[in-house]
Amino acid sequence: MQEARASRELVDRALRDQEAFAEIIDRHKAMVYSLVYNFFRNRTVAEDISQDAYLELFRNLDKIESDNHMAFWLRQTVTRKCIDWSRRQKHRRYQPLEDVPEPGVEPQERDLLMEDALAAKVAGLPEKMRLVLILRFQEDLKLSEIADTLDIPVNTVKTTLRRALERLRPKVSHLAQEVVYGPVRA
Amino acid sequence: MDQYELELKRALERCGPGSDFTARVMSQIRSERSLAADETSKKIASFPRWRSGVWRWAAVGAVAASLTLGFVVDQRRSEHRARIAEAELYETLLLAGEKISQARAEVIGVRYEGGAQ
Repeated sequence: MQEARASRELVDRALRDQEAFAEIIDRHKAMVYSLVYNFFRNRTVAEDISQDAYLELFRNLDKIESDNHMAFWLRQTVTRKCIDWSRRQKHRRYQPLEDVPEPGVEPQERDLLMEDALAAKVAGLPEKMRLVLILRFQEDLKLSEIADTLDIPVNTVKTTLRRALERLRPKVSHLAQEVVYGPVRA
Repeated sequence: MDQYELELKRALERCGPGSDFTARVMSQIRSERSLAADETSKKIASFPRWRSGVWRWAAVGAVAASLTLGFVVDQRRSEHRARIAEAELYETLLLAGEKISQARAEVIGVRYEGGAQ
């Protein structure tokens, strides 16, 4: 109760004082940034979309009721932005210069640890599967919370999650072999 | 949660943006705000004078005064026309009365002459 009041106070303060908004950014930036980063596996895009989400939050700050509401609002906004961005990129392939590998250098993925490779595999899943997985495993959300965030039925979340896990499972064993014995060549 | 899901959880752990992320967002917010303030002041500067409060009320007053004046003038004209019509009617009635008495006198004269014969 006291925490809810304090978070409401912070929102009220941020409406008047810009510095209080910096506190809000710090509070949620890891969540916001990671949602986008795990979706795209691209730091530049993750920072751009996160910034955009915070600007939108600043414009809609008067509609925020509590810290929980803010986290929900941010999650929902970020997931929508991810989908929009991803759909736009289907027409225009985008790769920032710093993410382009040097010619003749092996793709970095082969040198990364198992988790990084797995996260990259997650980033290769279809949009909805990716979001459900990220919200479930990064944010530890319940199925009903994921359904609210993505505005889809709980049963759809369940099915999507099951299918995503089934899709990834063979890749995980394949990855485990790659990490232990090096890249598997077909 | 099995081993596979634990690995997935570790793989999707939260990470943070660059250290200057908050500063960059704040500077973007500041620049957006100052841009919005500039646009507002430009709008105020280019706002036509007649649309400001005093001028708007002055325009409303002028329109109301001209409407009232028009109404008064029109009423005066109507009254004047009514008075002229009244005078004309009076004159007409007088003339008609005169004609009637003249005719009556003639009728009486004719009857009198006829009786005398």
